[in-house]
Amino acid sequence: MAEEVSSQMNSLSISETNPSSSATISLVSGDDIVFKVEPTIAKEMETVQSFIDETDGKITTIPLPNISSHDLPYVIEYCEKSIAGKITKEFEAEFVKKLNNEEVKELFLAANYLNIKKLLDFLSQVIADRIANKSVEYVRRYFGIENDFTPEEEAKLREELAWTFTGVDPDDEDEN
Amino acid sequence: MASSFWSHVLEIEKLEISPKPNWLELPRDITINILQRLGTLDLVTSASVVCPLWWNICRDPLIWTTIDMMNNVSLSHTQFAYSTRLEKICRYAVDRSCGHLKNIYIYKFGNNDLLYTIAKRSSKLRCIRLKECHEISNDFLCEVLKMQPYLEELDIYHCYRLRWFVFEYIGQYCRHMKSLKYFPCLKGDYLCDYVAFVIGKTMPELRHLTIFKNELSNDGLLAILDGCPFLESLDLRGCIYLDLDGSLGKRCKEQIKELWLPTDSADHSFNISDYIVSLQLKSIHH
Repeated sequence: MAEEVSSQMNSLSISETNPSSSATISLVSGDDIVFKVEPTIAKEMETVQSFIDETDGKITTIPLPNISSHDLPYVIEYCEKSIAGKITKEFEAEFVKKLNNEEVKELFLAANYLNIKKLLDFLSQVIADRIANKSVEYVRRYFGIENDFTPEEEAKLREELAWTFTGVDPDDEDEN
Repeated sequence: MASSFWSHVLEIEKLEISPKPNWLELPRDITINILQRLGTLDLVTSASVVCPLWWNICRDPLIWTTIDMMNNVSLSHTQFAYSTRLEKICRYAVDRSCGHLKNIYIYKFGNNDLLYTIAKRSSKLRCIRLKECHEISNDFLCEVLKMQPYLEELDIYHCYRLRWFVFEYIGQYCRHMKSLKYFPCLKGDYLCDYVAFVIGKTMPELRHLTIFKNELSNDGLLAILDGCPFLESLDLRGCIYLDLDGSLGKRCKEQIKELWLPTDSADHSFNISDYIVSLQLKSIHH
C-alpha cells in the first residue's frame, strides 16, 4: 500500500537541507496526499512516533485517515517551529489569525489524535478564548452539542443556579 | 496508543472515511483542558450548563483551582445587583473548588467577608489579585495573609482601602513571596523607606516587585536589592525621589534583568471619580 500512495505522491519537502539524516517519514492525509517530513517532526507527534517504534522503524509511511491535507501543513508548521524553539506569542497570534472556527476545531482534533501536547494546549486556549463571554446557546452551536438535559435535570440545575441569573438584564435571562 | 492506531490503518484499507469525532466522546481530560481555561463567569453561567456531561465535568474541583473574575465585561457595571451577583458566583466557585483553590483574581467587587471566607475555605492559596476592590480593608487582608503561608503572588491594583501599611505583614506571614505588585490609589504615604526596609528584611525569595509611585529614597532601594538576591524584575515607575544616575543605578542594571525606571511612562493613575461612583452605587444598593 505504501508504494501505491507514493506513486500518487504530492510531496511537500519540509527540510531539503539535511541529506545526512535518516530516511524521511511520509505522512498520508485522509485524502491521500503524502507529506514528507524529517524524523524529528514525526517525533513531535507521539502517535506517529509510537507507530514507528512499534514496527522498529521499518515502516515509514504513516496513514493519517482522520487528518485532511488542508490541516496537516498547519500541524507540520507548528511542530517545525516547536523544534526550532521559535514558538513565540507573535507566531501564535499570526498562526491563529489564519484559522476560522472550523479549522481551529479540526486542528484541535488532529492535535489530539496525533498527541501533540504543546499544540493541544495552545489550541485549547484558542478555543477557550473563542467561547469566552458567549451564551450557552453559542457554546452548544460551536461544538455541535445538543441540549440533552432531561426536564428533571434541567429543573434541578435551574434550582441550583437560579441565583446566578438574578439581577441580569431581561435579554440575558431569556438566553438562560 | 498503538492498538488504536492499527484500527485506523484498517480503516484506510477498507477505504472508509472515518466519521468526525463527536466532542462529547473526547477523553475527559481533553475537555477539562479547555474548560479550565475559561473565566469563572463563563464556567458558571455558560459552560457548566451546556449538557449533562459538561455539568458533570464541572463537578471536578480541578476545574476550579483558579477563580478568575477579572473579565466581567458581559455584565453591565451600573446595575445595583452587579457586585452582589458576582459575589454569589464567586462563592459558588469557591464551594466547587472543595479547598483546592490556588489562584483568586477579583475585579470590582468583593468585600472583607468574601475574602475571609475564601481564605478560610482554601488554605493553600498561591496567588491573590485584587483590582479596584474598594471594600476590602487592610485589617482583613492581614487576617487573610495570616492564614496563607503558601502565598507566592500578591497583586493590589487601585484598592482604595489597601495602603502601604499592609506591607509590614505580607512577608511576615507569607514567607515565600515571589511576586508583589502594588499600585496605590494615593501617593504620598509617609512610610516609604520603611516599606522598602520591610521588603528587604522579610521577602528574601522575591523575584518580581512593582512599587508604583512610592517615594522611597536610594537607601530604601539599596535595602531591597540587598535583601532580595533573587530579584530579577523590578518596576520603579513613578518613584521620583530615586537618583539612579550613580552607582545604585548601575547596580540595578546589573542585578535586575527587567527594569522599569522611575521616569518610564506610567499609565496607571487612579481615577477618583470611579471610586466615588462605586460608593454612590453601594449606598443606593443598601
